[in-house]
Amino acid sequence: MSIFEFILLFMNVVIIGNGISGITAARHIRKLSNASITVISEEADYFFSRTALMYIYMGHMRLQDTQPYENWFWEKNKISLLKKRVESVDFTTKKIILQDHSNINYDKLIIATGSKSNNYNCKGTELEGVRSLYHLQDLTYIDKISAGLNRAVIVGGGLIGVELAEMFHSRNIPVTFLVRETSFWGKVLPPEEANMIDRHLFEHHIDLKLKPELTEIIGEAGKVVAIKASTDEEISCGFVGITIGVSPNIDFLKFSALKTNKGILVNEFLETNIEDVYAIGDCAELENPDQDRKSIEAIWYTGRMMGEVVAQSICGTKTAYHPGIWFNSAKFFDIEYQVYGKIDPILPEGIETIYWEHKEGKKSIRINFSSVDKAVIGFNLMGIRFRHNICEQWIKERKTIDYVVKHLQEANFDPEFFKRYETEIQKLYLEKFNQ
Amino acid sequence: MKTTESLAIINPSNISIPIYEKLALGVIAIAFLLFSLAFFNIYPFQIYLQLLLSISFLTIGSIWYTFLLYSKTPSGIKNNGVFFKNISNRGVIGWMLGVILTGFYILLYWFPTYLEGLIHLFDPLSYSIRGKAADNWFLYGSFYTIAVLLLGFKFGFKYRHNRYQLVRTFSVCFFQLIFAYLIPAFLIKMNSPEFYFTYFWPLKKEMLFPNDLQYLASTGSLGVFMVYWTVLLALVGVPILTYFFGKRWYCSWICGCGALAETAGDAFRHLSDKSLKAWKIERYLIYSVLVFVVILTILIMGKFSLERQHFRLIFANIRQSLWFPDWLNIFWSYRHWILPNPRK
Repeated sequence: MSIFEFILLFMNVVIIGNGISGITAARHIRKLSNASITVISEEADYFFSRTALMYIYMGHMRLQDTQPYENWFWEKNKISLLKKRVESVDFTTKKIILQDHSNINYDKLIIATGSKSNNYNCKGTELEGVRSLYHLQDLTYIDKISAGLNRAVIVGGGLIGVELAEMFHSRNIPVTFLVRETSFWGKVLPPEEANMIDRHLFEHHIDLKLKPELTEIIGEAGKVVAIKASTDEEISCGFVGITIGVSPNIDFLKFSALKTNKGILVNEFLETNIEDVYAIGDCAELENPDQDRKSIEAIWYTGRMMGEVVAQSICGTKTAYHPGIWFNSAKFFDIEYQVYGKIDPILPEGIETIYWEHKEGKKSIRINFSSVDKAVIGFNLMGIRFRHNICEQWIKERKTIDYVVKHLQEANFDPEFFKRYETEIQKLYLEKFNQ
Repeated sequence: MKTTESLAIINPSNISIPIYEKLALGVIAIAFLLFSLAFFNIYPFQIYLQLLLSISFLTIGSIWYTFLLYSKTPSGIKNNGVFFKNISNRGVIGWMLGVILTGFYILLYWFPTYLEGLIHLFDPLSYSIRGKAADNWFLYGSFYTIAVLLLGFKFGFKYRHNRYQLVRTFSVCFFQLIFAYLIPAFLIKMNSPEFYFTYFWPLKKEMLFPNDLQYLASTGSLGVFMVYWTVLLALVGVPILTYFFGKRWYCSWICGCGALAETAGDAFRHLSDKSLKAWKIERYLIYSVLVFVVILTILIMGKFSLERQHFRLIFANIRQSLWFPDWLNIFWSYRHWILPNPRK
């Protein structure tokens, strides 16, 4: 045993937050060392999948079904869980102060506190029945308020907004969906895909209203009864869902020595400006993100990757965080969505696109490529699955659009017997680019 | 260990059933009423008419209900409320259904005389396809096949966005109806041994027992074909298919047990135990059963080959039939229907 390994035996690692980032870090530190590990979270007793919260409300799962590890897992792997709220951190004495005024010391601290929902600025947001969806407590709140609910209004067209719409829809509660843009998720999706989702929302009888903004929430006896939109329309409802995005959950670190901007500033090793303090996941803001990546990426996969990287660094193999090529996936009611690489909502200069849509309008494939060297830079898929590793490899190796269109069947990841559309896309490509 | 409390505060399932769904469910309920009349040996109609009415009501009701349930919404995954509904979350109805089904199995296996009324109901069908009166196993097979077909239709309609599930569901329904129900029935009618082409050793351990093989071979050329089928599939076919496709080629494409689980069981699949403990119990059980069957088969084969007299007998039978077996003759006459024609 080397001295370093010997020291590792007694290292005291504290992780604030038991989401995907914090728990991944804890698991990987345990794999690599015998350090003492404590995970503090006020939100829930055990780690659960935040992206599956909606399915508890919809009755597909129970809370215990969203927990990726069984309850005995933590004791067996000597990861102590502490259900408490962190009040502040004293970085000079390496001490965490909890809400009940007790303290915990740390040798290494990982901050993985995730996000909090953004607030909307208008009259009436303090009323009962106005809420976002992020935490487990939000779900309990929404569940309670759903009994006898006449209508829910959702403000903000993003992933959480459409989740909320699907949730209420599953319980036959009418939904009005206010989206400021000209189509759903127009800041991320190109117009054709965004329109497809709009159509699908209408098909599910979601009252999607594009362009109007929320101007006022009207209450009676402290409860929401209606909203007013910028079109002066008044919509009566018992719940207003505010889903206009999330931001790093770092209020408890304000006025501390920790350098923050929107999130906790970290370098490529996920180290903050204070020694032995790291930040990962939604709450971390990279000072120098890699090319084509954002400084804050509040998604599951990046949180998991950061957790793995920080565990390596803490256990002696200093590792930089390089997430590689962007990817993400989601589901809008019945339509699955995947993205690999760079897909901009508005086609930038010097980039060309080939877009194929199925005649029924629920499946599509988009491939973006550089008009200079014809190298493929991104894939956007609706209702069709592609293989992550193949798409990533093609983008990395800068394969040309010719090559990719010709080899498209290698990327398809739909189940057996599913209809294949490679020949249609190849035909479309030949027609459009007349090769 | 602490447990997390349930989040369910209100019952969000839609209590009011639309009128047409009520009618469709009513038709199904009448079918069950007719079956229970037969159970108590009450036959208001002639037997064949009562059977026809029971099965028709059940079929019409469930197909109608399936349409009403799933055709109103766009195709896609439909799991809303499975943990809220009484029947699919171990509620009062779910529990009583469990007791009734278990009780039915107990009667079926140990006290079939109590089911005589119901068995009697299936006589007309049994005479027409098997040429003899119904018994408890024919009753069971009929109920089983009806459940797989009707709930298979429901499953297929529910998962109509997924071609893999459609093809697979057609396959399990086909194998249940043809290979597990009709072919064994016709074999009985033709005085051939009741044989299930979709059962294999080690699932059915008797299928490689020498006495059973010997009996099959002694029944004529069809029996010899069955011996070949049994031995080749169990020792060559099953390992090869499993190597390439995993166990799913059997469990969710052919097997009758899988057929019921994937059709009737679909509404309850979320209740399966996913804990590590359950997985461990399953592993221990299946491997000990496999080891037991392998050892038992080897022992029985060993004992059999020691009794050389019998051994010679079975080979004599096979050789005799092999000399020019009927089935080979038939195959040869029609070979161009199956094999490519060399003249073309």
